[in-house]
Amino acid sequence: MSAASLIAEEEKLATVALVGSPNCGKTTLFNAMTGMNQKVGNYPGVTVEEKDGLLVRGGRKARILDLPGLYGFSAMSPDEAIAREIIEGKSAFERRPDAVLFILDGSALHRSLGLLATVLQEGLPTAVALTMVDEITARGGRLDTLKLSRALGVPVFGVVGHKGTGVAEVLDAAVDAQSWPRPVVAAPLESAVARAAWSDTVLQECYREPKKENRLSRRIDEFVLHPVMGPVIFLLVMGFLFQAIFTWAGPLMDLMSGACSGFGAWIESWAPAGLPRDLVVHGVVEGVGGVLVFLPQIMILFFLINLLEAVGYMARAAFLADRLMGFVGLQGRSFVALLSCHACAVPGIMATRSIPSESDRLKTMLVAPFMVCSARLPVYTLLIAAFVPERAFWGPLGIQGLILFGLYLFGAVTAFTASWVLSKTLVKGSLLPFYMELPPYRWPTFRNVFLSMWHRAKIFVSRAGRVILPASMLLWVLLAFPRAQADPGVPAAVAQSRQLQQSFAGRIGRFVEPVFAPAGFDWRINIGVIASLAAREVVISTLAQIYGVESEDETGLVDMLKKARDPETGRPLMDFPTAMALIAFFVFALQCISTLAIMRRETETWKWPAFAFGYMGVMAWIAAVAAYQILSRLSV
Amino acid sequence: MSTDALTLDRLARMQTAVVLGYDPKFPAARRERFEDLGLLPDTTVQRLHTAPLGDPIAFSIRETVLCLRREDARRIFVKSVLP
Repeated sequence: MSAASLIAEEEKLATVALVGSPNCGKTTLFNAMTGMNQKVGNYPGVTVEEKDGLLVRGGRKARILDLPGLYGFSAMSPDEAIAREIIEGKSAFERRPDAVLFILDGSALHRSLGLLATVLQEGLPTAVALTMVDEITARGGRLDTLKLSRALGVPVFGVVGHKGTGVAEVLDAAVDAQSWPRPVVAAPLESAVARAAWSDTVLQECYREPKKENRLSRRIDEFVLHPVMGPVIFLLVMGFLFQAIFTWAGPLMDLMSGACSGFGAWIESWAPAGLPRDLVVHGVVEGVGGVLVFLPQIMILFFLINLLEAVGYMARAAFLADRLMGFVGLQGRSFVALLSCHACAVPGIMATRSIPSESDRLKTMLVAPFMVCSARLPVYTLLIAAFVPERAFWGPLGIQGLILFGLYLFGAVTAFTASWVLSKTLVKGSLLPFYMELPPYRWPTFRNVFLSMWHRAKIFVSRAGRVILPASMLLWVLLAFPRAQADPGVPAAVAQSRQLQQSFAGRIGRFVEPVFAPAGFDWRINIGVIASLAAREVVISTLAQIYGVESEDETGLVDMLKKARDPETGRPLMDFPTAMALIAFFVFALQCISTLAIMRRETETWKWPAFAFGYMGVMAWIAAVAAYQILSRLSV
Repeated sequence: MSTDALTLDRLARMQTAVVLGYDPKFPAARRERFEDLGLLPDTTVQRLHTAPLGDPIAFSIRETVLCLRREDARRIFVKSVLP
């Protein structure tokens, strides 16, 4: 339950539901009404967002419930089904609202009135906020709100959301919502045709249709959706998005990691050495740092996505990418989500929320981890640098670079193939036909963009953090216990190595050795794999620790990989087939508790993350074994 | 209706037409949703943009712009409106 609903219960406040179609300006009004007093969560057990908040005005309060946008009471997605049930009073999640504030989209009047006709028949106290009024007048049209109000029998407020015009009147009215009239509709309007006829009658009195089309939007679209320019612009925008999360987030993430390590170092400086200190520094601080480090990427990505959505470009991008995505059972908006995964699957998976179809949303989430993320990159580059010869392949292209690029491509191909398979088997199609509105281009309301970004960040930290933190602490415990005998004469690096070898993780590593032996992994590599569940890039540094190598810098690690040998048998730690098997493993495996945590959060169940972990784990094992067995037989 | 009646997907770029009705075999749930979106008999539509590879197609329907896939547009009968 949200704070607003608890307060509403206690103080017997009225709940005013905001009802409207997508893109009608409902969110702008909701933000204006509730400001920071709002909460975004999920309805229990489903992936539909619950948004409510508290409106405080002149000493009076009301609970504002922002229902998911819907186009009608017909053919449903889970979001629309829940909105309809709540309005009808048939929902298990919510009591019937005390009043309805209907958001009538001025830029889509006929269509909006169709929905209004349906809602009026529910007979709840109703008022209407007419948005996008400026777009009507800019095109030479006019709508008389007084006459409209008389025709409908309910109050009508004209609003220009991004300028704030008319909002004050809406706020004043909303705290008094229970006094709104219950509409009486003359005849039941059962069919769309009947509703359309009714809309025409209503508008006849008060509406002068605009003479011009939305010239600017149309002209921009001629360019943006041009057969040649369209895809070019699309690639530029996507490239920009990609660069932003890859490049800009980088320094911020380093800043964050630096701050956390600094904090940890500070604690180490004054706290007495021993278990509690280690627990706090390595368990808690590093664990929390492991959650917070995602924030710059999440915030940058969602700022840009929300901006593109608010301006109206996202719909165009989905339009352009749709056919390609459709081949593998996905749709237009999946493209952006999957592209973002190249930086990190966590914000990418969060971005699937914008996909209206639940089955498409699920499919996108389940294949997202195949995209090569920035954590896999150091693993790949180190292993390639250590074991792939630095030969030129074709002109300036070297084999090393080619293999790396190939891995990126392979990740995308695997994701698409997996999606195709899922579409044919487990995640069958949705009952909705495909349709998408291209809203007019609009100047973004920055408050919406920032609030939405803020919610994403908050949700991530609280819900995903709730899983990531305990999981990383558990991993630390597995690596740090049982404690090895403290031997003062031994250098720190060797002591660290011994510690890892006899920890629980070490024992697990030896225990699963038979399973991974066909892939050429020994128990040391197994420990690395276990440790990398926290973060993929950790596998290399864990291996370094096991071999007692102090080195932090890359060349040192590359050397270590090439030269390290098992002290007992003299067998090299890694050779070319083993290195490629390890790469193959990382290509497929879902080695990331953060990804599992965010999947859990977005799907509201452990079933799907477990499924993804399982099927990817099996594929990873098969690939690693195949790579090792094949490559060790060839003379490379 | 004859099989070579004009359907929404066969309009030329920028061509205007009036909606006549739906293929009776078109699933009712889908038809209802399209009707809610404004695709009703006697409504004027105009074909605007086509996505790369031919699908989906953007139409203007009264004041709004709606994108549909070919497979659905093919089930909506229209009559061309000569300028």
